[in-house]
Amino acid sequence: MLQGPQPEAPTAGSLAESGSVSLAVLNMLDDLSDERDLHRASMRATLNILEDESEAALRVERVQPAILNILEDASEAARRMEGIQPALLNILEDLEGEKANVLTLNNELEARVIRRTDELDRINRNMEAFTYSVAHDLRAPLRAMSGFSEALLDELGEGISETGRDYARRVRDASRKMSVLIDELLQLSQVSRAELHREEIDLSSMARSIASGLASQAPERRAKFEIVDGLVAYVDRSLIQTVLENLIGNAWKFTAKREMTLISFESLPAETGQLGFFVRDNGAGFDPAFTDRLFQPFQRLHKAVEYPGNGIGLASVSRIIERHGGRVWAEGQVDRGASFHFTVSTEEQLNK
Amino acid sequence: MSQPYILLVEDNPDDEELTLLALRRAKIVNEIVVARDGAEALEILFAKAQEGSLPALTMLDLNLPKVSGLEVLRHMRADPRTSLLPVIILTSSKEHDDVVAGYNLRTNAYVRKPVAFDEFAEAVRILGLFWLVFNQPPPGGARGATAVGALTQGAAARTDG
Repeated sequence: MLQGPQPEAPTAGSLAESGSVSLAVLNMLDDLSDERDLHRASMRATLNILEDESEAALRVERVQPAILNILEDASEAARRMEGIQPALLNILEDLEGEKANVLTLNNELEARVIRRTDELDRINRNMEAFTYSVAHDLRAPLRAMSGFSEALLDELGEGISETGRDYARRVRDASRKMSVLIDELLQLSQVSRAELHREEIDLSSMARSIASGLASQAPERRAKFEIVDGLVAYVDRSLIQTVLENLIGNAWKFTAKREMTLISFESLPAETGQLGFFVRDNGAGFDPAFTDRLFQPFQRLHKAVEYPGNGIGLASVSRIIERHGGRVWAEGQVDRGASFHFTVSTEEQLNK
Repeated sequence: MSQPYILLVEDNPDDEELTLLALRRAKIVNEIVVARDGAEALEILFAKAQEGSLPALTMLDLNLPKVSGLEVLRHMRADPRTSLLPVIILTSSKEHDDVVAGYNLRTNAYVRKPVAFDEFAEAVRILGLFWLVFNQPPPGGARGATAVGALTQGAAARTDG
């Protein structure tokens, strides 16, 4: 047991008085202890606050390096940017260089195109000079052969035998035939080098006038032309006229032995996706094995005595169609007619 | 009065001979003067013009040595003495450019020489008949007066030079 001073232990006599004092003291002590409690609490609070602040300071301390890092990073990025800038400038410079290169290449290409075009022009002019000299220089000796063989006959008069007369006639006929061949070769070269002037052409009416021309030359023939209306193409008028004259003319020629000639001119079916046309006849036809030869100059699939001609017509057709960006082909069977097809490029395709 | 002559400008001796033959057959009686190149043609033309003699008809080949047929025509059209004279181009060429150039220089006709002699002779006969007989020549130009009788009556008279 605790044996502390016991000031409070009063005597009986003074107990009453001393009792009231001790009550007051006790009260004061009580109050004091209350205050002490308050003080303690406030101290604790202060300590808490201090603690909190130090924690914040700690946090700040911890954050600081991160911020520094960020700042460092930023300045490094700036340094890197500075480093990249010249590279970018270099790239831009390179691009400029590339552009200049492309321009130079372009100019070179253009110059080359001009050079090639000049070359082609020169070749074309040479070809023209050549055909001119063919026309002029080859015809003159032929005229001499024809003329002097005849003059010779005149000179000899009765003094020449029938055989001699026949030989002179052969010289004359041969020179005449050669002159026709030369003219057709010239026509072929003309077709190859003539300038194209393309326009919208009504092929139906062109075909109709060719057909009626043929029919009127042989009114005794029974013939039926079926020409579809409204066939138009963007082509050179005079060259396409040559094409139709040849194709319809051939159809007319090779149906000469038919009782009833049937010739039609139509467009290719739309599902072929091409602008094209064909001429079909019920004539002599041809052996499909020789289709390729049809379009070669001077190639003939029929004897000249049977069906006259020099084999230049389809070669001309082929060249003309080629120059119109199209193709030409034939289908046929011996004795079962033939059809000749051709396509041409359209105005839209040309303007692409 | 000197007879109006025909000027034949032709460098090919065969063609020259054949043309003369055809003219003889056509019984054309005018004097025929042959020039064998373009320069000679102009010399003859202007020398004779000095003497007051102009051709009734000039038959002009195009492809000639020295001075081309078209140049001859250009000179003729540029000179007041010869500018209206009838000229027919008689050539082997039917080149588009030649034809256009010929007409631009006011040729009166452009005839391509046929290869077959009978056709050639016929062409020469018709040309002679038309230009020397039926055609009214330009003022100051010479008309092939003596040829009228020859061509239409078939007289056998003939001159060539």
